[in-house]
Amino acid sequence: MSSEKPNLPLQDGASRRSFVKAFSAAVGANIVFGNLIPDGVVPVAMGQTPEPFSIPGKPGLTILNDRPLNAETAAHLLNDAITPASRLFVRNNGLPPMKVDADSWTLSIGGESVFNPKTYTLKDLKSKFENVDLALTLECGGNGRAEFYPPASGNQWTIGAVGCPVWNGIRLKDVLEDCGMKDDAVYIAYHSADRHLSQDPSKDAISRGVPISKAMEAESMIAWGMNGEPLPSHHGYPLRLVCGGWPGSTSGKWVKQIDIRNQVHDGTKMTGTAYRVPKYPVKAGATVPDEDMEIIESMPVKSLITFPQSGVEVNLGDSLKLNGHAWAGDYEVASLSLSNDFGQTWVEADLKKPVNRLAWQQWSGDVSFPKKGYYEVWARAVDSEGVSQPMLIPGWNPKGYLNNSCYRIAVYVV
Amino acid sequence: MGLIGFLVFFASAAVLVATDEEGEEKTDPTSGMVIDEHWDLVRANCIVCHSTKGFTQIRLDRNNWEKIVRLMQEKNGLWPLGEMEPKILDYLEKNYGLTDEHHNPKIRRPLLD
Repeated sequence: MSSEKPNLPLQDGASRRSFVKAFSAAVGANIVFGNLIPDGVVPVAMGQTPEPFSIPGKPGLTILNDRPLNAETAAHLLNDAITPASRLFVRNNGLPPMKVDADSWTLSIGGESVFNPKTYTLKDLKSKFENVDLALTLECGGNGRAEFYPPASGNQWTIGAVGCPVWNGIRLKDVLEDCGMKDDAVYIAYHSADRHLSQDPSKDAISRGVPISKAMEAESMIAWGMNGEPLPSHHGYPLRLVCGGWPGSTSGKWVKQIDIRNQVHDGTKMTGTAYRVPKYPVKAGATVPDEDMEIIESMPVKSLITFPQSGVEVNLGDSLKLNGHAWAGDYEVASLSLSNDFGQTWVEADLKKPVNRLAWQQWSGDVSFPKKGYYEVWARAVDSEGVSQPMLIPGWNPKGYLNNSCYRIAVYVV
Repeated sequence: MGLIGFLVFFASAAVLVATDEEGEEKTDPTSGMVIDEHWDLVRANCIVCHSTKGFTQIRLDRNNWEKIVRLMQEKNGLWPLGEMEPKILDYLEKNYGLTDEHHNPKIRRPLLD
């Protein structure tokens, strides 16, 4: 509510100017003293306005919340096999750090179960450890929340809080091994430079992590780049975690510290209903005791039709070519099927192998239609464990996580 | 808090003038939230840290709105609301409550577009 509340760091003057211009348009007036707004500050009115606005560098994303900033991508804008930065969803729990200096940025490894606590500069990390580039699927645990009933609180993500860029960095395990872990190590926990919404410095906006077994996988990364460029400010510049296949919240942005813990991490958004689901199926709308909730680990099998866009017209007699992606958390997708009759019959699409473990997979297929009329084409993936996407909404949970129901598009045959 | 409190008061006063001229229920042009009884309390207590989109994109019943208030108090530094609390819940239940018109859970609707 006050003008000193910053929100979003930007990296150069040109984008800052266009940003201010965009905001001026959004608040319906020139921003007085707009030229005095320091880099990284979003005008206060943006946190309150109902007017649509766009995020610079992210054309076409749907803004769900502007404080904290959250935005998702329409399915047809996710058609690239490797998601460009401009198409990757934005998820924030707090306010990004105001001033980021990559040259002085450090990452410290500590916690109860570390042998030798160490602090690395970004340069140390780049030179000391093997550099890796991996395509890893990042999906918000709440992607699909909008379809649950009764509704859950939180951002009403539909389908677009997912993407698969190539991340540039190092393996987390190499850094953990460089410091050494005691036998009682259980979990890693990140601490980041973003700020709690209340701006209370004693509170973390979010501090989550993963079990040691996940941290030690070859695809758990400390990343400084995306698609060969430095991380965009929205995505954690200059340093973040990427734990492919698990809820995006395990992939902390703006990471300053990683603790090796002798217990399951109990940081902000590790407890209560945050990123946790009931241990057993519950009736929709139920109140579930905390002790009956468990932390979400691997995300479930899921797919998207990214071409064509829903609502497409097809001439009778023509077949429709479709394509998209499928992913399955810690697993691989084994098959992708399409239906033009509300799931009564299915045809199998061509499905590619992932470019590396935990990358989403591309599929393509043809569907033909027997007569004119309204159709829906549904896509259904099955993972390497034989587990399928459900056609309707899966089990209700208090915060509306893990909706992996079949995606569908409308098709008019004329 | 003093400065924020003053700004809240100032902004609320401006909104009241705007709606008096309209003569009927409106949404607040600055926040997009419904202007109704106790909106001033919501404004003063509930959108100090986060955007109003935390309200406008969701629908919850009174019980679940109360859970959100508790969560905000336990985790995020919201102060005790005292006698304002039932009034705030009245406002949220009435204007951001759960009714059948928002969703029929028994129907998976056609997409159409």
